[in-house]
Amino acid sequence: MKKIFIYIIVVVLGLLILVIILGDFMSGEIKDKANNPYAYEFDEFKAVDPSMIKFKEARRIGLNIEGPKAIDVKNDLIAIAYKDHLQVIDSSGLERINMPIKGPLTAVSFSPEGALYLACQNYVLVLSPEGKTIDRWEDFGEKTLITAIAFKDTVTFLADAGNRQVIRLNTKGEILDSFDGTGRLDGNYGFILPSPYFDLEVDPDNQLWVVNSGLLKVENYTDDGAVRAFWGKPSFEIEGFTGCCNPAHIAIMEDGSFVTSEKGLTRIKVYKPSGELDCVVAAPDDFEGDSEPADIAVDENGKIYVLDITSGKIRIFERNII
Amino acid sequence: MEKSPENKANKRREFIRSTARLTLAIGIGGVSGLALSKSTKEEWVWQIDPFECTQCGRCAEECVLTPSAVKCVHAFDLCGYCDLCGGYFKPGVIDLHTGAENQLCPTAAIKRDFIEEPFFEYTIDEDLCIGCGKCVKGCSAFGNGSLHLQIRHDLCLNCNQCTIARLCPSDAITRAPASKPYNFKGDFTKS
Repeated sequence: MKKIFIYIIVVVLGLLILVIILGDFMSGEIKDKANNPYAYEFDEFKAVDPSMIKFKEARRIGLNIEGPKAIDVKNDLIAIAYKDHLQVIDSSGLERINMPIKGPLTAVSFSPEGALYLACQNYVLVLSPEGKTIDRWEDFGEKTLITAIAFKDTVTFLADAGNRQVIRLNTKGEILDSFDGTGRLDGNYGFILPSPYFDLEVDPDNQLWVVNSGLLKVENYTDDGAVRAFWGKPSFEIEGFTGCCNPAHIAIMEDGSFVTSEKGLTRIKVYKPSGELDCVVAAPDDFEGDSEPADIAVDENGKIYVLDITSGKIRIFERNII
Repeated sequence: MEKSPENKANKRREFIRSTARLTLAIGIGGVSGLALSKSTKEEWVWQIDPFECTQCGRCAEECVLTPSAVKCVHAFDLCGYCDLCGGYFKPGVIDLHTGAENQLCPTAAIKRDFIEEPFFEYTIDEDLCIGCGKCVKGCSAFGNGSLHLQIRHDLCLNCNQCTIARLCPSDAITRAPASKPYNFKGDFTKS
């Protein structure tokens, strides 16, 4: 009788231990709990008035190499710089060039003549339209981080985020001079770059535009670095830019309109040449979760090429025809 | 040959002596080995990988300590010293002033100081910080991620099984060697 009593106690205790262990395991399901009382909420700013969206996504091109970084477009050719590859495809998706490059690649641009200029962190490779190496420009310094390349007549501009400066080069890749964005004016802050998003473009009127992303402004400079004009205002609303460093990328259309791509609130917008908001190309909801800011390019027909880094696709947007 | 009782007794004594010597040697060796292993063996502590952390808010709620041993730390060498700081201001603020209604931190644990135009410095009051990661999320989304969460070892009890490590949805909390107990951003980078 006494033995049976002991057996019962042992079994009950065993079951109790089993229940505790199972309960402990089950409580691991709390991992899937969605409620976060400390959630950072900014969904209300993701919503975009549908009447503001005047572009539609016409096509998507899937990329077969991982790690796309930058894009440029010219004459039906799309150049994509990956971490350690260059790929050129035509608008039908047919691959023209696929070559490994000792990276990391940080920017790619077609010159007006169709040559390919590749920024590999602190040096530049010049390739023929067929992908043959023509030149290699070095000696920009160890700290240099080239994030954009643009051309004006015989001058090449490099955006150097590492040293927060714009470098001017001649056709041989020799440094002519550089400027830091202070515009030679007392009280101007110069280029403020909390993160390495530093883009520049030359517009159809041969004007140099540089993104001062820390100030949330797009600034116009003379060739020798005097600031001439700027636009852009800080705001969470659709008209402005927010966060530490926006716009992350710009492209300029044939009519002088600016296309901007932002980080944080991942969205693509078009601003008139005056800097006034024209319309929205892609709203934050068009991108997956916490997407990286998409690099952008525009072609001669006004199509906008969005390099969706997170999904690994090129998304081509066309203006709605009314 | 017949064994004498004297011989038998001698052999028994010899056996006992040998066994005692062996036991003593094993004991001394064992204790020395244990002491040596204790002195050279790496100690381990719990730490957060800031590149895996998704700022889910559990660090604030699940730590056995109240407030949590998880605190926000600031990598000043990475910070942009922004005026419009995503880790300090609530989304959508109109004026960039330090009024409570503008502050993102639920316990006002971040202090904003003017340095020079247009730069501001942000420091964490760890006594107020509860490790919720709200500022970290804002800084990661709109800034460059200089704010990040770390387990403070002057507070952490180093539980055998860390509760928040078990519940962390991104498995960002793992054991780290006590000789390198922090994964500070800036010093600690991943490509």
